[in-house]
Amino acid sequence: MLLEVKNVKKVYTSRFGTNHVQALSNVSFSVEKGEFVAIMGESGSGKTTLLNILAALDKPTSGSVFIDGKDIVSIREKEISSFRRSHLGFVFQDFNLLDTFSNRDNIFLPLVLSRKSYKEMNERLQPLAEKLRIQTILNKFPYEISGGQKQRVAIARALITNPTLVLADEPTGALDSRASAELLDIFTQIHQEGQTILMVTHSTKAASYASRVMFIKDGTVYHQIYKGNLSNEQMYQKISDTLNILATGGAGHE
Amino acid sequence: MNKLFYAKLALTNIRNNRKTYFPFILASIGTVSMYYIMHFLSVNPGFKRMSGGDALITMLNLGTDIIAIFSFIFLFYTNSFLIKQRKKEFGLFNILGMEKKHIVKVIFIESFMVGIISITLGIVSGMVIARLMFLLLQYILHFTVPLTFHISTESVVKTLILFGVLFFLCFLNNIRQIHLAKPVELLKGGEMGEREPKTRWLLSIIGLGTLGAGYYMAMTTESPLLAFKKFFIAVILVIIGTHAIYTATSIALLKLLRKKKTFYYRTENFINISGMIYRMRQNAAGLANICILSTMVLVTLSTTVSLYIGMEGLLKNRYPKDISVIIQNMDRTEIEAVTNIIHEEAEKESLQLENPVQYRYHSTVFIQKGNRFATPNEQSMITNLSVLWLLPLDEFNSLGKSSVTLDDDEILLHTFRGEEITDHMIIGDQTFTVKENLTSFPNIGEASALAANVYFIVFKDEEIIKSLDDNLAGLSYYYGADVKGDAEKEIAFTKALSKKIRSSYSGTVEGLEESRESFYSLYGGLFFLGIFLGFLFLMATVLIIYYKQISEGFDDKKRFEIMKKVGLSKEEIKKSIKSQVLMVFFLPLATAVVHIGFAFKVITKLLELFNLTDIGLFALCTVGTILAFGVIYAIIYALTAREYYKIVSN
Repeated sequence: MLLEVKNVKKVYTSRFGTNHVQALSNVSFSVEKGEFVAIMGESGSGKTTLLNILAALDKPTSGSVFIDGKDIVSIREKEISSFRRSHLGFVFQDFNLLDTFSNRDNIFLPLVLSRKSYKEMNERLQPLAEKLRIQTILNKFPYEISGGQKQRVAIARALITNPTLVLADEPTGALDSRASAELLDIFTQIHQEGQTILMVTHSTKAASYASRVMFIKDGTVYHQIYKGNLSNEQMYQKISDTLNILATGGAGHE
Repeated sequence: MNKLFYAKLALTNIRNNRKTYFPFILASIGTVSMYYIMHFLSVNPGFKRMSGGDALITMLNLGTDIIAIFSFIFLFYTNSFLIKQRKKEFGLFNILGMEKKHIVKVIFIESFMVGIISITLGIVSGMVIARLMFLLLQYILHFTVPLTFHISTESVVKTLILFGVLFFLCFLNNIRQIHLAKPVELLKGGEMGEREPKTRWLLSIIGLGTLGAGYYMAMTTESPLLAFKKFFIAVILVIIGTHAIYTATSIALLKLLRKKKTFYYRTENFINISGMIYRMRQNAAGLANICILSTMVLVTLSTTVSLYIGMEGLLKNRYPKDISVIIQNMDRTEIEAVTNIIHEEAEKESLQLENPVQYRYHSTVFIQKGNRFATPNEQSMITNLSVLWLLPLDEFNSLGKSSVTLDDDEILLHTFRGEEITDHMIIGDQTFTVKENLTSFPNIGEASALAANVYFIVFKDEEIIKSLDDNLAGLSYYYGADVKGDAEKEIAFTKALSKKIRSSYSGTVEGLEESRESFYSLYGGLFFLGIFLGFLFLMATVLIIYYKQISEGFDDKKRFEIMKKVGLSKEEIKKSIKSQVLMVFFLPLATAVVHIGFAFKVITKLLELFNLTDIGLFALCTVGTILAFGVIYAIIYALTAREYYKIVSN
C-alpha cells in the first residue's frame, strides 16, 4: 500500500469560529504502488483540499494519511519540506515554472534544495530530457516556450527526484487538445514504467487514461470505476455514463 | 448613481491601498512642511542684520529652491509608482462597466483628497515646526533675532500654489496612464517584462573604468586648488561608473557566478543569484540613484557638521591673532607711529594687547614648475600659481627670537601648502640653496586664506628680496596681537582701528571677533541647510526603497509559493528573503560608504580651503554621520522586511 487515506475530514473555520465549512466529510481510499488514479469531481467538491492534504500543504481536521507507511499528518513541520522533496512530485495546471530560472534550472530546483551534486543532477536529467523530448529547450526560459513544452518541463521537474508518488492537479487544464493528448501519452508511458500517479481532473478525456477513476461528491468518495482491459475510448464512455448518473442524482456537472 | 458614490469609492480606494498611500501622504506632508519652513525662514528680515546675513539669506533661498525642485521630482515619481501598482484595480472597474470618465472622476476625487490632506497638514505642521526651526537656526548661528511674524502669508500662498500645481500634475499623469492603457493591459498591470536581462560587456567595462578613474583622481589629488576642479570631474565619473556598474557590471558578474556550476548549484546561491539577476534588472537604476543620493547626503552632512563643529579651530587657523594689521609698502621708520595708533585705539576701549608680533615681508605670486618659480604673464594658468612669502633674515630672527645666519644664496624654507622642495629653489634667474626646511613658521596668518601653494622663504637681506621683484617698492608690514577683554569691545576696537589705518595708510585690519559672526552666518547656514536637506533626501531614499520592496513582495509571493510546493521549507524561505532584501537595501549604502572612503582625501583637501585642517575631526564627523544614517536606515529596513515577509508568506 503506497498511499492510504483514512477517514479524512476537513472543516474550515472562520477566524472567530462563527462559520464552519465542511470541505471533506469523510474520505477513505488507498492507492497501490504502480497505479494511475484519477480523481474527478465538480468545483467545490473538495478535490483541491484533498490534494493539498496529500501534498502536506494543509492539515486535515481529523483522520490520517500514510505515504509509504509514513504518517504525513503528524509529521514535524521541519521534516515536511524534505519529505515533500524526496517522496512527492508535483504537476500543476498553470505549470508553476519560475521565470527567473532557465528550464534546466527549473528542473534542477528540487535537487538543488536537496543539496545534490551537479554531476548527479546532470546524470538524472539526461534520460529524462530524452524521454520528454525537451533536450533542445533546456537552456531557454519558461517564457520562451509553448504551454505543452512548459508542462513537459514541469513533469521533468516532478520526476527528477524519483518520487514515490506524482500528484497532478488538472495537468491538462491550460493546454489545447493536441498538447493534452501528448501529455496524457507521457503519463501513460511513465505509468507503464511503474510510476504511481494521482491526478485530479475535470476532464473526462484525461481521466480516461487512468487505470482507476474515483468520483468525489460533497466531500466524500462517492464511486469508483476500474479500467481493467478497456481501451481509452471505452473508458471514456464509461466515465461519461457515470457522470450522467451522478448529475441526474444531483446538480449538473460542469 | 448619486454624487456621493464616487466620493465613497475614492475614500474606500485610499483606505484599501493604505499600505502604499499612507507613506505617500506622510512624505507629502513632510515635503510641504519643509518647503513652508524653509521659505518662512528665508523671508524673515531679522537675519539681514547679521554680518554675512545676505549670504545666509541667499543660502536659505537656495534651500527653498532645492526643496521645491526635489519635491516635484520625488512626489511625481512616487505618485506614478502608486498609479502603476493600481492599474489592475482600475482595469477591473473598467471591465465591470465603469467608463473611463467615471474612473477619471474617482481618480480626481482621490487626488483631491490626498492633495488637500497633504497640503493642509503640511502647512499646519510647518507653522508649528517653523518656530522651533527658527530657534534652532538662531542657536546654530549664535545670533539672536526677534521673530517679526509668526505666520508668513507669503509662505502659505507660495506653498499652496507650488503643491497645488504639483498635485494637479500628478492627477494629470494618473489620467494619462489610465487613458493610454487598454482594459486588458490595465488588468495585467505590473506583470510585464520579466525577461532575463542581457549581459552588456562594453557597459560593464566602461563602468569599472570610469569608477576606477574617478577613484584614482580623488586619491591622487594633492593641491587644494586642483582638488576643486578634479573633484567635480571625479564626481561625474563616479556617478557614471555607479550607474554602469549597477545596471551592467552587477548582472555580468552574477551571470559569471551562474556559470560556475559547483558554486551556483548550492541551495542558497541558487535561489539568491537567480533572484538577484532578476532584481538588478528591475531595480538597477533606482538603486544606483539611491546610492548617489545617499553619498550626497553623507558628504553634505559630514562636511557641514565638521565645518560647524570645527569652527573655533578654523577661526584660529584663519586668524592666529585676535587683531591683525597689514600695511603695504611701509618703511621701517613708520613702525613706531603705527604701533602708537594701535595702542591708542586699544586703550580707548580699555583693552589689553598681548603677545604682539610684527615683521616686514613681501608676498608675491609666481608660476611654479617643480622647483622653478617664474614671474607670471597673462597666459599663466591659475592652477600653477604659487604665493611666496618673502622675509629678510633680521625680521625672521627677531620674530622667532633665533640667531640664524645665511649666505647670499642661502634660504630657509617653510612649505605651508604644496610640494616640499629640499635642495634648490630657482626664482626668476637666481638659484638658492635650501639651508633648512622649517617644519613650522611663527606666524602664518593671512596665508591660510589662500587657495594656492604657499611657501615661506627667509633671505639674507631685503636687497635680495627687492632683486626678485622689479615692481616692489617696499616691504609690507604685519602687526598681530592677542586681545584681552570683552568681545563687544573688541569688535568696536577693530572697526575704529580699521577706519583710522585706512585714512592714512594703504592697509587692512582684521579682527577675530568681528569675523566670527560672518563665519557663523556662513558655516552655520551651511550646517543648517545640510541637516535640513539631508533629512529630506533621507526621507526620499527610504520611501523609494520601501515602495520597491513592497511592489516586489507581490511579485515574489508567487515565486516563493512555487518553491514551497517544490519543497523549500519555511525557514529557508525566510532566510532567502532576508538575504535578498538585505542585499537590495544595503548595497546602495555600502557602495556609498566605499565612495566616501575614496573621496575622503580629496574632501579633506577641499576643507583646507575653508581653513579646516583637523582631519581627525572630519573623520569622526564622517563616521558619526554614516552611523546615524545607518541606524535610521536599519530601522526602516526592519519595518520594510516585516511588511515584505507578511506579503510573501500570506
